Amino acid sequence: MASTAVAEAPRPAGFRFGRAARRYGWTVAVYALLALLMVITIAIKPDYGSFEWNTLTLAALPLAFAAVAQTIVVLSGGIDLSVGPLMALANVLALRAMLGHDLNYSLVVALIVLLEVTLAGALNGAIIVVTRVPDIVITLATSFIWAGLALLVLAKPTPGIPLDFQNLAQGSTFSPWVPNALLVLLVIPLVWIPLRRSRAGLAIYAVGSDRNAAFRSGVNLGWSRLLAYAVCGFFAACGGLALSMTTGVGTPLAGTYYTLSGVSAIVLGGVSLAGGRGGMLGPVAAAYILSLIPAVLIYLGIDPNYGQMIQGVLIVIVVMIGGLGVVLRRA
Amino acid sequence: MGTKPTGRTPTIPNNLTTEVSDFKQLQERIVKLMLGPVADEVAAEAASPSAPATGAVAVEVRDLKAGILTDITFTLRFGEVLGVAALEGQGQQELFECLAGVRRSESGQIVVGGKTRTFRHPADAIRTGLVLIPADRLQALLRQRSVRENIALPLVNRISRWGPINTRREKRRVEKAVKRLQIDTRVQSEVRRLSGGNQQKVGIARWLVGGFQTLLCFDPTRGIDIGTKRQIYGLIKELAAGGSAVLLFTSELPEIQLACNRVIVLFGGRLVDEMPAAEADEKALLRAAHGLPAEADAEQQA
Repeated sequence: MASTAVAEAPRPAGFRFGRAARRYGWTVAVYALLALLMVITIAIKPDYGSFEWNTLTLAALPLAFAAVAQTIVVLSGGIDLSVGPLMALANVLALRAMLGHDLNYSLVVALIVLLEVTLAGALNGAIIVVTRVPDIVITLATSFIWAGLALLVLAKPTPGIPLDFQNLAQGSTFSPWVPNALLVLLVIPLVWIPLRRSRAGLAIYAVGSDRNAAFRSGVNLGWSRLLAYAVCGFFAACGGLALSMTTGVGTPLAGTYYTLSGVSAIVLGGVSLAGGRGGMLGPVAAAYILSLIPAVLIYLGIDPNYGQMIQGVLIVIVVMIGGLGVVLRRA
Repeated sequence: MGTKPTGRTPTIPNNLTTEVSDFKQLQERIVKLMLGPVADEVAAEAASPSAPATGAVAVEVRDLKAGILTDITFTLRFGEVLGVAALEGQGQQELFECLAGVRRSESGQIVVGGKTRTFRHPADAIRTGLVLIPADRLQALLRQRSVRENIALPLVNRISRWGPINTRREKRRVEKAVKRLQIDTRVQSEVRRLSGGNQQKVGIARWLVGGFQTLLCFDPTRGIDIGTKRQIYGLIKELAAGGSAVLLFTSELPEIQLACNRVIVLFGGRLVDEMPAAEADEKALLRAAHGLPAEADAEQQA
C-alpha cells in the first residue's frame, strides 16, 4: 500500500490495446495455434478435405463439452474429477433407453438424460457445499460412484444408438464444410452467454476470484458453487450424448480419458486453475488442438500413441509461456 | 513524476524554515498545493458544524456481547454520523463485524426497523440495509475483476435476483456512481490496478448503486491520500444529510470531530462515554479512549 498516496501515472498511448491484449491475448493465441496446426496439417496432407475436417469436429465434440463442463467449475474455484464418469453415465443411460427406438423418442430420452446428469452434477456440488470437504476429494470419490453406476447400467460397450440420433452430429446438413458436429457446439453459447450475463454468472466468477471478498459482498457462496456444479453436470451430459452421437456406442468406461483431457484443454485454453479467470472460447479451441494432434501424427505415419506425449509436452510449454508472460508483466 | 533522488541531502534555505514554522500551516499548504482549487471547497464542507440528529432510529444495539465486547447499548439515527472512538483493539472490530453479519454476537440484540435481527451471513445484513466499508478495502473487493463487476456484485445477494442483468441500466447506474465519486478510471479496469483511494471509492460506490440505509465505515480512510480522504468524508456527510445513518470508526481521532454529529467511545470492550461532536476534540477523545474520566469530572473529584 506504499503507493496509495502517489497519483496515477499517465496512461501510455497503447493502453486500450494493451488491456485488450491482456484480456483476450491468450484466447487469440490459442486460436492462432489452432490455425497454425491446421496449416501444418494441410501442408502435410494436401488432399485434406471436408471428410477429414468432419472427422476432426466429431473427435473434438465430446472433448469440447468436457472442457466446457470443467471450465465452469474451475471458474467458481473448484475442480470436478467426475466429469468423465458423468459423461459415461449419460452415454450409457442414453443407449439403454434409446435402443431400438426412433428419433423423437430418442430426443425425449436425451432431454431426460440431460436432466438426470445435471442433477448428478448438482449432487456433487451439494455434497461439497454441505460437508466442506475439498472439491478434489469429493469429486474423486463421486467419480468412482458415477463410474460404478455407469457399469451397472451397461456392463460392456454396446452399439445401438438410433442412426437418426447419430446423424444429428454426424451429418453435414448445410454444407460439407459446416458439419453438424460444429453446429451442436452452439449449445455452449446458448447456455453460457445468458449465464455469464446474469447475476448468477457474476457470482460464479466472484466466488472463484476471491471467496472471502465474495462472502463479504453478500454473495451466497453455497448456491453459487452448487450452480456451477449443476451446469458442469449439464455440459457433461451434453458430452456424454455427444459421445453417443459420434460413436453410436454406449461405453461405460469412456469417461476416464475425458476428465483429465478436459483439464488439459482448459489449461491450454487459458482458464486459471486458481479460479475466477478465463472464458469458454479458449477451452473449445484447445479441445480442437488436442484432437488434431493425433490426426496429424497419423498423417505423418507416426504411432498416434505419441499424441499423448505431445499433448503433455504442449501443455508444459504453454504453461511455461504463460508463466513467462506473467513474469515479464511484473518486471 | 518529478525528479529522481540524487543521493545528496537537500539543503533547506533559512528563510523557508522560518516561514513554515507552524506545522499545521505547512500541512494546509501542502494539501492546497496537492489538490489545487478544489481544496477550499472540500475543506469548507468537511469543517461545517454538525448538530446532533433527531431522525428516526436506524439501528438499536442492546447489550451486545461478542469477544472482548461487553454490554454495548446505543442507538444510531437516520441523518446522523455516529463516531466510534477507540484505541486499537478495544472491541470496535467486533462491533462492526457483528453489525455487518461477518461475525455472530454471543448475546444481545441488534434491532433494525423495529425488528430484532439475526445476521447469519453478510447478505442478511446487506438485505436489511446495513453495509460495511472495511479498512482493508481489498477484503471486500475482487481485485482481479473489473470496477463494473465489483460495483454490481452486492446486487447478487438474493437468488430471486439471479436473473439476467439489465446491462444497460446497470451500466448507467455504475457510471453515475463512478462519476459521483470521481473514480479516476474506466469501469473495465481491474480493481487491483487502481490506487488505494480509488479502490476505496469503488467500495463505497457499490453501495450507492446497490442501495443501503446504514453505512458502517470501519476506518475507511486508512492509508488513503488526503484529497480522497476529504472527498470520502464529504460524501459521508452528504449521505447522512440525505437521510442515511452512518457509523464511523476512524483510527485518526482528529477526523472524528470533522465528520460526526455524536461520538461514542469504547475502552476495553465497554462503551465508556458518549459526547456530542462539539465536545469531542482530540484531547477529550484521548482521555475517554484511555478510560480516563472527562477533564471537568476529574477536576470536580480533585
